[in-house]
Amino acid sequence: MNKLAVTLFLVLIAITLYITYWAAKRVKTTTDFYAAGRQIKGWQNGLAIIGEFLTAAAFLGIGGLIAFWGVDGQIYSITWFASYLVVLLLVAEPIRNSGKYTFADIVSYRLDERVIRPLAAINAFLISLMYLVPQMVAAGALSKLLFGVPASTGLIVVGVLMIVYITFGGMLAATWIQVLKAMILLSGAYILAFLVMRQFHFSVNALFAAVANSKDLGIAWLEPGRWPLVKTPIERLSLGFTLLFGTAALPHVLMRFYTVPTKRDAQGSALWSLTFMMLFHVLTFIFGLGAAVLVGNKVIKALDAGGNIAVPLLARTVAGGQGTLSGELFMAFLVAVAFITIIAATSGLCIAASSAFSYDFWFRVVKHGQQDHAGQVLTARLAALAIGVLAILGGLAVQHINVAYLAGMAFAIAATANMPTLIFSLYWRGLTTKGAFLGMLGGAVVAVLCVVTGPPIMGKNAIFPLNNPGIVSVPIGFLLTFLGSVLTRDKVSAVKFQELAVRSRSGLGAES
Amino acid sequence: MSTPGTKPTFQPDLRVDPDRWAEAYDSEVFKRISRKRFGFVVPVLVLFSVVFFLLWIMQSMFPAVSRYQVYGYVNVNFVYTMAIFPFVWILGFLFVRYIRKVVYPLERELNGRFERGQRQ
Repeated sequence: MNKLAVTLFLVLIAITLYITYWAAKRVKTTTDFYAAGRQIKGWQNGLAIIGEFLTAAAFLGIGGLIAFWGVDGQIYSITWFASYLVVLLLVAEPIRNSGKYTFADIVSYRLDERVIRPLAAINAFLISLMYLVPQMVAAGALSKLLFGVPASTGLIVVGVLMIVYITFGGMLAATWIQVLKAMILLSGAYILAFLVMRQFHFSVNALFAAVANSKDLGIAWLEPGRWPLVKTPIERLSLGFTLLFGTAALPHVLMRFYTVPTKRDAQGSALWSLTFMMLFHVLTFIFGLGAAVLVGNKVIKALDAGGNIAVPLLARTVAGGQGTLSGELFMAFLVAVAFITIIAATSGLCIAASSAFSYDFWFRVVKHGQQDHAGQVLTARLAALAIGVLAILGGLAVQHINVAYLAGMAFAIAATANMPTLIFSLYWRGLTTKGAFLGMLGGAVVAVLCVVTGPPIMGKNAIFPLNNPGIVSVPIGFLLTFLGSVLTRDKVSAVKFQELAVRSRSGLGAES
Repeated sequence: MSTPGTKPTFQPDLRVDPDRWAEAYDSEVFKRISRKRFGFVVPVLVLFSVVFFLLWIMQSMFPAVSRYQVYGYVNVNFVYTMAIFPFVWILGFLFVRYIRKVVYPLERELNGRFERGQRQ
């Protein structure tokens, strides 16, 4: 067990538990629980939003991917970053102007709430859970790799901490933990990048030359086309589509825009998140190529075939090397930060899933909006507890199976089922309840079918040929919603469109 | 922090009469807001899509171009990829600045008009 890493991890956990204690004293109403009392400033929310996205996949995964497959791994960096422009241009401000707590608030605003809200809630719940379970499994695998403890122990620790954060501190605790994590992560990333580039006299060309002249690597690492997953043009475009539209419609990301007090802050927070994402993702090639050259692919592969250990090993190498205090300390720091990253990310997903159940389903559908704040907060806390337990049990049940495709499925459903309804809700008068229903249900089914019958699950026997279905499923989602709408009538939706358009574009009557 | 209550709160803060949404929608100032917004957003989205997906197209269909070395081992693919970061950020920054300078004054005008109307 890496005692240094565990000690640093415990220090960070102590800080996050103090944040939770502080937040718990302030959570009294549903707005406090679901939307952090709408007290979060734009730059803070920007940090919290990138906190949601700088998961282990981004921090450890992209570095490993570039180390093994070359610059193709930058696809994730560039697409996750660019998706925030879509968020900024199309959804951030309209969502803050017209909704209250959840994604379902927007899509059910002008449609028949009894039909659309439960469906939107189920979609949000499933997307969050599908994204949550692989994170839990990854947490277990990483705890074994990074701390040397059994995977199931790591998974349970992450799950329990997530439950504590959300049950007691709600969105307020989740937000401040994300802010803390994002700041530490960005700082760590810049120190690491500085130490790596120092080895190459701060010259990108010198780094590239080292890659090109390495006998284990070669110039192919600097050119696109090595990674089999995006070998064909259609695969490459499809991955771009899935990530671009999926990110902009993930419930736990959309929820973040309710935590700020004004539309100006919502817009500002999207720009801040774009800024912070850029600050991080411009560095990923340094981590990946630096690890490939300075640590060596064979060394990384020998320890972890997935490549997740590449960045921590690089940190140790550039900070002094194995056995030195500075090297071991910096590696331990990054390992602890990586683990905090996972816990914070799972917390964001947990609150999205619990609000889909407690607010959208229980309060709005079952209770018909008749429940006092104390009752709503209690339900939300119980839902968070139940979802946390479900995620732990789910994670334990599938921890020996490769469930990475679940995260891809979550993106595919968000892009295919949620995005068309969200965009049409805000910008197209012709959307009807039946059209939205068909788009959301049909889109989700199409997305799931594409993944289930595709290479991620069926391998070489795949019926659907693409690893990421976005380029096929997203247009189908839009088409289903469009056709369902033009073939049906919905007078209420057309009339309410005027109200939603005025609210979403001007902020008139927005929640305060 | 918000005040605890027992009422359903989906649309609690209607600062204008619900019947007047249609009037606000049909007002000249709201039409100008929509024109100004979409007049900026649509071209920006088109420009972004072209630049963004051109990277994938170049990588997949024109590998020789993407491999062309512009400085030492630094090739077109790397320069293009890294250029997307500031390009996208500048688009976002210009959008925010535009909305705050051009659209927000119109929104204040709309909000003021309908809030005043409500008080009368």
